[in-house]
Amino acid sequence: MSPEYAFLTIFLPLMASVLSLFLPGEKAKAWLVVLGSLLSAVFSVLTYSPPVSGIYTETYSVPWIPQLGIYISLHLDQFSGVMGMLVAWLVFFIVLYSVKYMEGDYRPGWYWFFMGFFATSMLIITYADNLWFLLVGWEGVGLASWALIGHWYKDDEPDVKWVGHPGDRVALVDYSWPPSKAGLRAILTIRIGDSAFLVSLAYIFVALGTVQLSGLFRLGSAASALGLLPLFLFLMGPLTKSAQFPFTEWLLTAMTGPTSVSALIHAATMVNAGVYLLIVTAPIFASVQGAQTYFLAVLIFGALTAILSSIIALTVDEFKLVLAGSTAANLGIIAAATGGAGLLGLSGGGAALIALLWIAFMQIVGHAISKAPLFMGYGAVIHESGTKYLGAVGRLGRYMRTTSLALWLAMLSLIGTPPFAGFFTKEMAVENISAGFDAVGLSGVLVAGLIAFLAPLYGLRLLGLSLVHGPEPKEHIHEAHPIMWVPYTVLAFAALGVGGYLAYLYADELARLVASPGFLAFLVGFAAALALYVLRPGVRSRALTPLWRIGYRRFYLPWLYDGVLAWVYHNLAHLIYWAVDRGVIDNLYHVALPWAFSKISAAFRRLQTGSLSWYLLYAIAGSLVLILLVLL
Amino acid sequence: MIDPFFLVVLAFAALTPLALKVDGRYLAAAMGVAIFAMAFFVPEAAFFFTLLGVLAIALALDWPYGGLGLALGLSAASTALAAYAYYRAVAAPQYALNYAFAGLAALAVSTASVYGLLASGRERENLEGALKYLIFSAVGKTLMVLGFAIALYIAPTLGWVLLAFGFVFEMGLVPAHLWMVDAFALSTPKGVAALTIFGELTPLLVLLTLLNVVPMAKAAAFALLVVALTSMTFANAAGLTARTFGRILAYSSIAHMSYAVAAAALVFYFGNKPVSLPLVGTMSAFSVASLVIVLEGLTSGLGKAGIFGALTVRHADTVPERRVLSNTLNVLSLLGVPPLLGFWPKLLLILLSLALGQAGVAVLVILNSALATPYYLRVFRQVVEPAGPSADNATSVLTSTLAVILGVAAPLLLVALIP
Repeated sequence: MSPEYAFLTIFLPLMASVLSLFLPGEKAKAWLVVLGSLLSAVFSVLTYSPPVSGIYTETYSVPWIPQLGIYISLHLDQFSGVMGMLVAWLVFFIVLYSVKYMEGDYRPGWYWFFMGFFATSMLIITYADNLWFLLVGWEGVGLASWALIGHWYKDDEPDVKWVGHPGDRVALVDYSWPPSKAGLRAILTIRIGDSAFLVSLAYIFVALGTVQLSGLFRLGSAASALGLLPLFLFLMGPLTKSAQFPFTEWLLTAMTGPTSVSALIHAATMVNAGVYLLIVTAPIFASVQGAQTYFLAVLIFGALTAILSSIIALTVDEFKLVLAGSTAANLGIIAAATGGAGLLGLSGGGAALIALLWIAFMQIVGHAISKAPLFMGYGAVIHESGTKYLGAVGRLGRYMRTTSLALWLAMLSLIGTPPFAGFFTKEMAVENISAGFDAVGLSGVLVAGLIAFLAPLYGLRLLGLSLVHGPEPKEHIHEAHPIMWVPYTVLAFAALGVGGYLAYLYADELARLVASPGFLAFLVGFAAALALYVLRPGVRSRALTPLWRIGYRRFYLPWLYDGVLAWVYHNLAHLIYWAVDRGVIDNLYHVALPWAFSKISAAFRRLQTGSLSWYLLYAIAGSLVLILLVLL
Repeated sequence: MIDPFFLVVLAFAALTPLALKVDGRYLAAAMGVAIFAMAFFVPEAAFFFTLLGVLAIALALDWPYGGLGLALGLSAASTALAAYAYYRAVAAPQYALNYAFAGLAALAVSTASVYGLLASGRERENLEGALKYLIFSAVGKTLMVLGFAIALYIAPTLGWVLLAFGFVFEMGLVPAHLWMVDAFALSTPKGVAALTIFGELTPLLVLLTLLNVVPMAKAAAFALLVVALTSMTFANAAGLTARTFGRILAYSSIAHMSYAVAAAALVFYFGNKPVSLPLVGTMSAFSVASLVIVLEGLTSGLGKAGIFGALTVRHADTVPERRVLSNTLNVLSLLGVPPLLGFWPKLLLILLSLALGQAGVAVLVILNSALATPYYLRVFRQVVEPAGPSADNATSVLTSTLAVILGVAAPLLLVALIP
């Protein structure tokens, strides 16, 4: 392993973004960060040349604060190598796209700084072998997420930059979110997970003496002393970061950020950090006593997220919300596949586990290269049409041909259509999920089938209602600028290309995948979606409207979080202020204690009568008391 | 062979008739110069001689004393004699008994002089305050002399118990503290300035001299410890609601004297063993206690001499008429704010308590420091709030400068003070 290449891969984007702060003009900042990310992407390939297989195969470490177990360490293996290339190249494509997308923005310095800052933080997570060092990146992506979701801090243009319809309320709770509020929602949710995550890191360090991932991996069965508590605390980090149920809300309202941000952070990279960490730590946690419970929890959380988020994606009426729901669903698939891999690998052993985890990891790649062009393409659509609402403008396939082509290719990959990359990665991941449920005596077929069935429904609904059907645009719509359509079109074709490569790699699995219940469910869903949304302009069903509303209202979780929890917390804070802070502490320090001391002081001073005789009397009496004390 | 400095003091006393012809302030200033000059001849006590000489000059410059300027000079001389007696008792232990008696004589001269200065305003209140001081001081000295003689020749324990009571009366500790408040509040302010520096430093130096001659008995040490801890708490609590300048600072004096006595009592009750402290290194506990005593005397004396020496009112049972900004430093030094002088004796006392394993005493001292803060801040306001122009005089400026310099140069100061 060449650590220089790895460090250059990681830190070039940050260096470019820091330098960009000192450059005048938006264009200079933008192109500097593009250059930095291109170089980082090139070095990411050099880092993984020649490719290595296995997990924690090569490591490099520099001590930082060894007494606390903090080292600057990197690990290079098939997971980090491929993830590093994925992240670095996606960063490059997306920042290139945003040169034009963010042109004329009112805060370019902030945007370009945080894009580079984010890229470095994400690459730290990818390559870090030391959990404290990884935490640096983990927190960094959280901060960048807040900064970029809330980039349009002026909260202007609600029809483009907000999530939800302004003025929409459900039982006194606003169902629309401006960027400033969405940024806070994101970081507060992540912080909840991070708190537990931090505790678990400390626990692991104290219990096992190291937080080096490679070190923990080599401990093998000695790691069994850990117990389930730190594992579940650890799990909170990835659950919140990867927006697993019930923490999905922040990802949906994160769509207030610029679409390039949504593409990079909330689709392709940052949200994958959680599930990526679940994958690379699975071989370590597999040795812990009670690991089966842990992996079962991961499987269930993932599957639940996949199904519920798919339903949300199917019912919402904004381009980016559909894609966000789809992202959450796919993250659920990856998490559930990891859980399934863990459960199956517990009986299979080391190499089998890594092979199964590789399948879950491949879905990260497949999803990322499918989702990024979708976001970028729909960003171009919003840019051109001036609206974010699905159904407000349609028939865009006629006016934005190249974009439409890219969107079709990317969506077909995302929903799992052969021969795209998404077909292979999704089918194999869904197989993991099914086998995982079967391993614990639950019906894997039903769960896998539902997940596979829902994806084409929401995918083709989005395409059908925006590109094929819908009202004619009122103003003239033209194709996006080449600097915008080139990156996402290249990525869309890459999804096809990667699909071809995977077809070659997994040629002998093809027959089995096509015959699987998951693919069958996909076909049914695809056919239904084609009929409902592509051949026909959608359908309204009175009978299904109540169910639709539950999905549209995102299972009323926003009402719970923004309404009930906020009310409880607000009033609890008031209670603590009035009862404890004012009632007890202030009263003690400003009323009770001063009163007591002034009474004592006044009592003492009452002896000061002015009469010498009394003074002598007190002195003599006091002396007698003292003598008694001495004698006794 | 009579010690030369005794002869010098006798000479000072013999100058009394000159007071009829020459204004007392010039006599006081001349004596101050003489004491300052003596520093070159008594290297052990050079620091004190320098300090006292300069202070006497400053006090003499500030106010017209009339005939009582002689009393000012004599009180400075008596404190110098007490310091000389202490340092010589340590340097020449074979003559320690002689120097102990010299110290007691110095105390008597000091009391007489300070009484005169306290009553110098000739107001009814001034006389009342002065008399109360004189009576309690006289009782205290009687007990001291009696106690010292008994401790030397008959029974050390009984002797030291009497000595202990003597110091309680002399220094105004609970239960014999009530005169202190009236003396500070009612007497002439410039007399109170002399009382605080000369009248309080002298008995502390005499205490140290006597401890070098006859170690304190454990029973007496116990009694003094109880008295000291009770006094500091009583005084700081009472000071919280005291309204006038003089009364607040009287309680402050009681507290400072309590800290000093507590140090001596701690050592002789818990044992004089070697202790290792930061800043001073390894020393006997008694040496540390001596440092605390001397530094407390200097802190309280210098601070209050500056504050009272600048008062333009007839007595201090009121608020000051004029603002004196230099006294803000004196107040902060009394409060114990680092790096001023007053911080160091408190710190050393706390470290000494901890070194002797008495964490409870340390905590009590810290709590007392905290308890005293409100009334010192009230004094601070009273010093700053009156109308200008600022009425700083030589004494207030000198004492505040000394509070800063001696505090900041504490390590050098400790080297000078450790016998």
